[in-house]
Amino acid sequence: MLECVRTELPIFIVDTGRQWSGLYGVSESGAMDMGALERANHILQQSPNTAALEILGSASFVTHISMWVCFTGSAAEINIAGQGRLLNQAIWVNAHQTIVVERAKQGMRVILGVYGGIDVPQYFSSSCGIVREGFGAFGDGKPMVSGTVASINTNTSTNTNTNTNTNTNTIANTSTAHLHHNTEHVPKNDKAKAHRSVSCVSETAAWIDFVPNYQYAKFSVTSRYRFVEQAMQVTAQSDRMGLRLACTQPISAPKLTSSQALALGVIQIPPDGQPIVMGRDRQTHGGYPVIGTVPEYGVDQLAQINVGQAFYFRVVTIEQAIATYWLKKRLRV
Amino acid sequence: MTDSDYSVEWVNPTTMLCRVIGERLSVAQRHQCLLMIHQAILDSHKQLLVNIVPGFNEILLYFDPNKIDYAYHVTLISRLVKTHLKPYTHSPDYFGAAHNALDSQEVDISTRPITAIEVNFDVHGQYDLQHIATHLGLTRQALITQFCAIDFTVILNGFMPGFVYLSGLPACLHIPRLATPRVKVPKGAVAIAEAYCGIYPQQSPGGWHIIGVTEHKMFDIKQTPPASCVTGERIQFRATHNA
Repeated sequence: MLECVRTELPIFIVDTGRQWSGLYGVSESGAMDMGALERANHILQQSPNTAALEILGSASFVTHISMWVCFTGSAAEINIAGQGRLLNQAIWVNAHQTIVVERAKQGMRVILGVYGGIDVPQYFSSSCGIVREGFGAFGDGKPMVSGTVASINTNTSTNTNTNTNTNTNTIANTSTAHLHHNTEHVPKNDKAKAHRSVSCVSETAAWIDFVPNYQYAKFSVTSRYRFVEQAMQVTAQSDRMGLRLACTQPISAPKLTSSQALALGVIQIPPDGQPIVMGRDRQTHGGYPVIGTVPEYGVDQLAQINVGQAFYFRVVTIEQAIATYWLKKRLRV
Repeated sequence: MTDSDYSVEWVNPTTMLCRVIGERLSVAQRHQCLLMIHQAILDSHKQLLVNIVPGFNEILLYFDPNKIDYAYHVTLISRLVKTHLKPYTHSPDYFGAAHNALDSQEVDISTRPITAIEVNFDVHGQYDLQHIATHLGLTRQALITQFCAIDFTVILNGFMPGFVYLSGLPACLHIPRLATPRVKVPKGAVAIAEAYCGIYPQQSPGGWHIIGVTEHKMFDIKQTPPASCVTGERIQFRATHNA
């Protein structure tokens, strides 16, 4: 088990998201920086859908059993038993050791991947939970807070577990955990991968790709121009539902008569003209006009942009977005 | 039918947006058409997908990234949309068109069973029944009778888990949203606004006119499926005994 001793902000259980939830008005959910989640699970040699933790602020944990972990995402400082550790490596942590994650100076979200995954009941093939929906994660959609103890799935022979119990690990199965979590399952630290750090936009260029679609054609030429020519910032009001942006010159939007189904990364323009990029916990439908869609890899980058840091939107065709998506996916694994 | 009657496109590298625009189609025709497309996709191409979100004018298809063939799947879905759209756009007569639409491989939604949902109509003036009746120039009883005779179809669950949007409300019962939304709409509220009827699965703020309250459970994560009414299902309301 992994106990959260103290956390500045709630910690979310994340995986690749829910399946077949849209018919019931249930959100997709999943890791905000999906690339970081997939990388952590890849390094730990397990299914990309294995449940990990998404940490925003500083946090500290204590292990109750020994386990393999891997940190990816923002350039946070990681200390295990007082020793600094690198991102993008499989790290063996003994029982009763303390893990400290300091808030990153660059990037917003750290993924703490655990070999075997965080063990909570699954809904729609996912371990995610959203408080407003009232189910999943650590019960009733609740995230991890100071004092929460997470069970680790020790039955690693199958990755498609449908466990129904949380926090019920007894001493008996904790000891079997040791057997399954032996060091042979996980590779030696991969030095090459350790260098490939944050997927944060600032490290490459301050551009975020978007594909013009939905109501793009109905936006005025002025609005379309304003959308790409001025600097945008991610604001502190952002959450997993939507990344709220701020720009100096508001974008005016055409009228929309009815709500529409929202894909990941759609950029809604509400009446105040400040764009909102819809994240993983977005509601299924929304009523604001949409100027375009940020592809998955762009949402990963946006999820790691520090509050207040400037970036620009750049128009790409869907073909370019598809090419970049697959290129990034191949580079990751 | 022209290409401007529909659009099928990838909006991001794993999601396809399939829209029925057809401005010559009535709202009812568009819903009917989308229901057929939705059902046809689930019947024939479910294995390609990991999620689907039905909308009022569109369907969002989440593909399994490992099964995507970008060009082929756009053609496949376009062809399917065209097939279901054709009968509506060729004939101005809705009923005639709907009749012709039913060739062998299409889905006849009118034969689906109807779910009856019991409603405690707001006869004590707690909510908006009287207000709606006055607005529409009906007596409360006439409004209830008329409402219970409607054959509603579920368009989608959205806004929150288990919140159903129902189509079928005749034009004579259309009423604009409340000028000031309620802070608290009770769980189970059956409400109408504009062309739609909706049921609140849990207490929430809302701007629709409440006609009554049902004890019917709209969403329960422990059940399979968790929502009691999904896209394409038919619903009829019934007054409980004490109403």
